Amino acid sequence: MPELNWKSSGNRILLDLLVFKPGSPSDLTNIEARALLDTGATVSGIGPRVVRELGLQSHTKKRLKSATEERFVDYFLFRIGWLMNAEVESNAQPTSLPFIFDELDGFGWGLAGDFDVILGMDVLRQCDFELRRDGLCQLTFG
Amino acid sequence: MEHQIDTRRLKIEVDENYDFLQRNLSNLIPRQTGRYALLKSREIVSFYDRPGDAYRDGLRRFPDGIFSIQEVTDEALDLGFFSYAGT
Repeated sequence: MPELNWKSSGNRILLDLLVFKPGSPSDLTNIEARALLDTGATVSGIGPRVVRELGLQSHTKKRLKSATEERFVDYFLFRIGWLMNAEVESNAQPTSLPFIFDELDGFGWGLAGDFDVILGMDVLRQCDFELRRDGLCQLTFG
Repeated sequence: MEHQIDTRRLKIEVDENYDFLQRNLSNLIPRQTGRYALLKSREIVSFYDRPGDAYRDGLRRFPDGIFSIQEVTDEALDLGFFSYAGT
């Protein structure tokens, strides 16, 4: 199975990936983005740069209940993936085609930050994830 | 194509369809929980197991892109990192 290995530093787990437009599986329009792995998030999400650069439109809204408020947020369909080549350590056979997950139904947020994607439990539950005390991380999927 | 959608009409469509689904949620929960409803003009067109399938069928049925997709669920969303930021 494909796997990603990388080293995380600090108290956050950040990972570089590709974000693709939804719709046609053959449409590989994508942008590079940095993702935060967040096991406390039930769903994934994307920031304003991804929405703007991919020209995404929201077809869904959902109620967000947080510690301090309840409000509606726009949701966006998008796909995430990784290039399984020399740029990423992998035991998969090198290929020019990325590994792409099915469309995610994720929330959007408005303020730009130092990451563009939150990978929540909707993605992580499809993977095996290991975090070692020396910062080495492994994500196995497929 | 997606980039030509009338965003104002789309927002109104999403809002109206959301209200419609919420009013009918109790009837839908027993049989459709976790599935995705494709909605148009405050009517449910169909249900799908995956959001991408609902989206593709929505684009096929409604080329102007004016439709919405809602998951059938009554669960509150918890966004972890953001939920507790600034509290």
